[in-house]
Amino acid sequence: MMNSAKLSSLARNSLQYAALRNVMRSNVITQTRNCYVNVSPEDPKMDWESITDRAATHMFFREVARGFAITLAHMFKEPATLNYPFEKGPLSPRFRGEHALRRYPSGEERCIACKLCEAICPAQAITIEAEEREDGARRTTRYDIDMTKCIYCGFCQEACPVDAIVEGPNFEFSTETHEELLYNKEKLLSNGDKWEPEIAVNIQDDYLYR
Amino acid sequence: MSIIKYFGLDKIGLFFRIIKQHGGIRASLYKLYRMDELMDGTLVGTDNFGNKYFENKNNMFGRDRWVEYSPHVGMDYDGSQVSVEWYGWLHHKTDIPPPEAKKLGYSWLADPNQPNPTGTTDAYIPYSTTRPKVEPWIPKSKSQ
Amino acid sequence: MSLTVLKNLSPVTRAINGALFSAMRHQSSTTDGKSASTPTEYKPYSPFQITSSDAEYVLARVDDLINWGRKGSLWPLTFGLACCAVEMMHCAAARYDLDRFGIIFRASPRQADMPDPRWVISMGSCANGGGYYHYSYSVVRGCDRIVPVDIYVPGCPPTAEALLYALLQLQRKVKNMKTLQMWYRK
Repeated sequence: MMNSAKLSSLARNSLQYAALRNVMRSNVITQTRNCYVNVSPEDPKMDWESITDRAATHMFFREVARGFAITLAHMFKEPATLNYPFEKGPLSPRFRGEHALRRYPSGEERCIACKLCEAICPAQAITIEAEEREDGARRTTRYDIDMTKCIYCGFCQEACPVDAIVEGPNFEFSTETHEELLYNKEKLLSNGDKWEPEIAVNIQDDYLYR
Repeated sequence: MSIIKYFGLDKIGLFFRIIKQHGGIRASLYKLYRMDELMDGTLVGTDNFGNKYFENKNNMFGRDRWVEYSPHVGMDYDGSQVSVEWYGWLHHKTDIPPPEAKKLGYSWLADPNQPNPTGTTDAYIPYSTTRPKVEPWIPKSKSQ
Repeated sequence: MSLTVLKNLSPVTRAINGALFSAMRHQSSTTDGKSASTPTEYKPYSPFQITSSDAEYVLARVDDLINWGRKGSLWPLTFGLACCAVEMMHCAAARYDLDRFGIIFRASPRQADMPDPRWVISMGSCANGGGYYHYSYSVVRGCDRIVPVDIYVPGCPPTAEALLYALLQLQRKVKNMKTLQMWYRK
């Protein structure tokens, strides 16, 4: 802006100004304000034809009739309602539902008790205890998730270095007692055994983004 | 567009076709009572539980795939009775129907048809998977 | 956190319709049972199949009728706070449409709450067990410390489908209630 002010003070002479105008254009943003649009509704026309039109519209309830017509038309259209237990809504491969502990194809459990998920869990819903197994492998003896504390953020899944804890696609696991939502290791592993086909597909779908 | 289609008269034929598909008026009424809707579709497959999976691509997205729960369960159908194999297909996560999809085939995979057991005797009850940390003191009884 | 108190108002017309309906159902189920040629064994509608006496049989059928009326007119009181309330709205809106199960949200306890059998659905982690705020000093760790809960819906928030699944599960629970049979046994 300083530059342009200097230029305009220099350009007292009209000839000079004409020469400098092109230079100024590149520096000064000039806006032409000639494209206004009137957004307020126009005043109603008061000629006889328009007045009779409006009177007829009000007298014969045209808006009401159009409303009824739309309602009637929708009765013959396909409903937007999903007939839930039979039809189900679309789900993303990244959907975060019920937790599961996975296994290697050999049947060996993946979890190595590194406790990264326990550390990252924002709601502190995971409790892990580890011990050495008979063959010397480090494995968990306790892997509890309190599903009533879990906020299904998926951090455990992201933190896990061996893809052991995952959130599966299942959301139909509501219970009648509070205790049933305090999952232990056996429950999580059996979830994994059940949902492995879906979980494997989800991870396959998402591997490019991880 | 033919004149019959313009006036929607082809829907009458569709109506009779649907009733025929569901096996007569009585069976159609039962299905209407059970499923609230009579749909026109092609059978894609059946799982081990007896659930039948249908598809009709002319319907809107979301309504184009549906499951008819096994007749064994009667009116006690439940969303969780859907087989894991068909879950992704029914939820529009994949377009490959499970009969054509490749199977994992691990020996340790569990039964894919396990409905939510809550409220039944099979319901999960939490228990500790560790050894107890404290040993209870068992007082020695004096030998008399 | 969202907490739904369900209440049941069964109008007389509904009960009468139910009477006719369950009588029809019962007839058809007995005929199905008699014809052994049917290839599939249909699970009967009523969960009360074993009755020791005639009186119990009658009460079981009346219970069926009462439960049918109750599960078809659950009127929940909406009490929703944050994200779960949004999912609850999804559930009631056109996509999943609770009205087709006779579940109509009422805005005040007086409309939702008058006669006795009441059920509670606890929706979302905060209501189930404190959720993210479990270890906060100023939080009730789960609404079941205040009201007895029938169905816990896990999720944060549970999807609209999960809530609908829980409502259907509650209907199944209502269907198994033995109001008159327990009264008779006492």
